[in-house]
Amino acid sequence: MKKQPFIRQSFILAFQSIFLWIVYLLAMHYMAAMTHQVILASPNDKGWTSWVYEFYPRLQTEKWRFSESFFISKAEQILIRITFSVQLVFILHSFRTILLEKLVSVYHRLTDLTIHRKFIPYITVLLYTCLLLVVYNAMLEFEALALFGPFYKPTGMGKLLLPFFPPLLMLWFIYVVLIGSIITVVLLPKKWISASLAAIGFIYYQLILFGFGKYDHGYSTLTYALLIYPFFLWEAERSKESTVPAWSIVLIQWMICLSYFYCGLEKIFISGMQWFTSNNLQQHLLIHEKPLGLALASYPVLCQCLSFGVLILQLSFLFLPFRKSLVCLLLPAGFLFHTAAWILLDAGGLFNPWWGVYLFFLFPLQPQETK
Amino acid sequence: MSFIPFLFLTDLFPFMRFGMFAETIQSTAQQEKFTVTVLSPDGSNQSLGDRQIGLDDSHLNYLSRIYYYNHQLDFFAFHLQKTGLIKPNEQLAIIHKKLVNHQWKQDTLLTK
Repeated sequence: MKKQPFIRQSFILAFQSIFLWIVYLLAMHYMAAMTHQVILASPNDKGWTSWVYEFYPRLQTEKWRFSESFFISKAEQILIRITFSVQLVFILHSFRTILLEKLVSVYHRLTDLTIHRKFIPYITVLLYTCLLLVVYNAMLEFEALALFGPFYKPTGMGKLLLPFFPPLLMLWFIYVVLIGSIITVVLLPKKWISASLAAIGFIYYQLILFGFGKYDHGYSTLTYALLIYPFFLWEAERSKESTVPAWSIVLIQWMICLSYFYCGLEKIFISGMQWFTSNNLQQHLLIHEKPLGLALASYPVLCQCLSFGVLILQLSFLFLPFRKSLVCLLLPAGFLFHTAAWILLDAGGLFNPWWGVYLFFLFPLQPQETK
Repeated sequence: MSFIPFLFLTDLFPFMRFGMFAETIQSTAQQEKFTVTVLSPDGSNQSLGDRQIGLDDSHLNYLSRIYYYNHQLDFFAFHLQKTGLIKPNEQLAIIHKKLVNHQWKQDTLLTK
């Protein structure tokens, strides 16, 4: 390998050091500013400036519930993530030559994959059946939520896309678009248009649902799948070949795996070593008061083992795109995990879209035939 | 993944989009539940969730928690009366339960 000139190496090193110092100083400034905000806010509860509310709308309620240390630890969470990301970038940069080679080869291998056209109807029907199972009742939910219209407080992009609670006519419109696009995506040609409408409709469904202060990630993987899948249909409709490029299916697989991985990573970021010592699961089981959950809560060691198992399961999903043999292990384990969460913690339902989207792992992808 | 925003729905501050159940429970504020209860003139009471209003208990729990901590329960009750979910002769009560040392302790807050 050709040696880099000394001056160039020194320059890169100096640049990295300066960059790290800037990040460090910004982090110090951020922590000082956030700590100041927290201390300022505590005695009279009026010190929070509006930008903090902008980024953390739940503060409106949480400020009454928790002490200073809770908010300082929340501010630290930002720092942990920035530090993690910066360090990751530097590690990756250090191994860039080897990594780039590997990445390019993995990229080519994945983008080279195709799927046989005969599987498309099955994937489409299964995916949009999942969506239908989630939203068939949406109008009833909308009508119930309409009674609470004055309590609607959108956050994030909701402020832009749905700043007010929609009138009944608009709720019906969203519902009809949603159900209509699910039906037409299965029955009509030009499926990618209906699929795009279904994705937009589903986002609006969630905006309405989550505009009342309760956010959860129950629909995240399904949303990712619905946002990407129209690209696959579009490509399938353009091509006349017996196989269709499967990069979008691979991307959906990655999104699902990364979502699980990120759930695991969040546990490490937020709870750190305490995750292994606090017996969190036992506490949650006691709060949710489900009969089976209460029975399980009386076995603290078992609860601790299960908490550990969940973390391992979620982190392991990162390896799934590289090792297809893990499908037989991780997908059944994931199904059991979601079903147990429903029975023990009342999280999700009998049908959970998180395991619904496993369908993207069920159909064989094959490398493109060389012509 | 921190850089793949979960579209439109986030509360950005701690990037806690996937943080459900990730936090260890350390204070009693994390071990609390709210039940919206309707008190009838005959002395009987019923959870609002049991009235099949189309909204699940977790939504009601969140809503009542927000208005409980912001001292706006009277506004909450007034609005529910206006929508007809509770009758004018009925009274709304919020039951606030906290889990302390594996025992539930509760206090009931009556609205006007």
